[in-house]
Amino acid sequence: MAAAPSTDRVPDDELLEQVAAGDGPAFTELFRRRQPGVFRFAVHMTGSPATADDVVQDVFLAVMRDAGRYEAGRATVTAWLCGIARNCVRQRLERDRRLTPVDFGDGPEPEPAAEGPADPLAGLLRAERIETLRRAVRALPVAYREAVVLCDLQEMPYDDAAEAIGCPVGTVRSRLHRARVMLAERMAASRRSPAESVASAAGIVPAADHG
Amino acid sequence: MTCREFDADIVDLARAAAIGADAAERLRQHLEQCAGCTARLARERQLTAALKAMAAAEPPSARAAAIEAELRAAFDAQRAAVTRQPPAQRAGLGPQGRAWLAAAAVLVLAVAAWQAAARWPSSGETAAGIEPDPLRSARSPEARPEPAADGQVLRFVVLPTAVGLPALESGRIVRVELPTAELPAYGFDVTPQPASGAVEADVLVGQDGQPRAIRFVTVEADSRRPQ
Repeated sequence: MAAAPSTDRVPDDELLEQVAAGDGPAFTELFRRRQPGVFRFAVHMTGSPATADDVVQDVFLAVMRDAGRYEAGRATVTAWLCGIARNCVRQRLERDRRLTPVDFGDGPEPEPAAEGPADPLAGLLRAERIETLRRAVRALPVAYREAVVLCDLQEMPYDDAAEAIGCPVGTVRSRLHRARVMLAERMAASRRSPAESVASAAGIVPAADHG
Repeated sequence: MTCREFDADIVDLARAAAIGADAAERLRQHLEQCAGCTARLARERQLTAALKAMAAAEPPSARAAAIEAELRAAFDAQRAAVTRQPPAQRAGLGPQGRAWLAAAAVLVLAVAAWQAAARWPSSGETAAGIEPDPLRSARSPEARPEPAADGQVLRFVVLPTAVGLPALESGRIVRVELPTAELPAYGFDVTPQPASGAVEADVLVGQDGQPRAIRFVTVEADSRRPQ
């Protein structure tokens, strides 16, 4: 949900004022501007695109109702929306605990090769790494997952993330630090492929290590 | 600087987060002397790159346009309800007041919407209680179709039975199919009474599971004919 720098468009907070005054086109503009970030936050947190769409609906219904309550000096609109989205996600996670740490099966398929047709294997490996990382992120405890999703995946500044989560900046930094340690451990554990495990168990040394 | 002190800033360094010039210089000096921290920083940077690749690979919502249309219709319906109140009463209107105002507007809006969708004459409105059971038979959200785009009614109208319910805090839009015979139970008095048929509608369901507003989508051909 990184705020895209722009100089020629109405700032988010002014847009929100217009929404509060009942301006339909302003509501549409705000939705188009911020829906992708809210959706990505929710899909990274829940692993379910369908649930993420529901969260988007909840967030913008809240915008309809509470646009007038936004305090411009306290947080950016992005952080405010993320805070609402976070509450919606947490409510859904509470309501449906099966969403918490597991893969739901309705997440996106691994990405196709991005390196182009010249190196399909590299593309497949890259997609596999991304999928492994995606699973590792979803397996993080919620508080740590929030820190990774907001700070790393959404590239949100620490203070905005702290505002969205409702905790001090130092807490965000420490959670992010710990979350990345957990991710690195999970990624390292997943790096050993079944073939490597069999070879290792059988005492077979890779060719590169000979001589 | 010790490795422990370096560790406190390694994530910021890997994420290229803003670091003060003095701190950056101390970190650089430590890296020149410490192969272990240099290797750790390389791994942290790899993780940052992988996370960025993951974020970039996430596909956008396939329902964004449909949700935008649904929400905009709901926004316009809410605004219509508010603007129908005299200015003197509108000032300082709270959420509860808006709900009552929306309910007052429903009598006009509901008739217009229903007549446009069903092309039936309407002889008035009732405000019988809503049983939530019909909503439970709604299709799953994942299976809900796109909103009608064939010129049929797209505006939400507030249900009479939403009067007195708590203010809408969150909700979802659910596509339902309602037997026309049950419409009076939702406050829509249809005359003459149809013997069969059904209407499709999008229902805005609040956080408490109670329907707040409805938007008729299609009407089966048979049900359009007066009995």
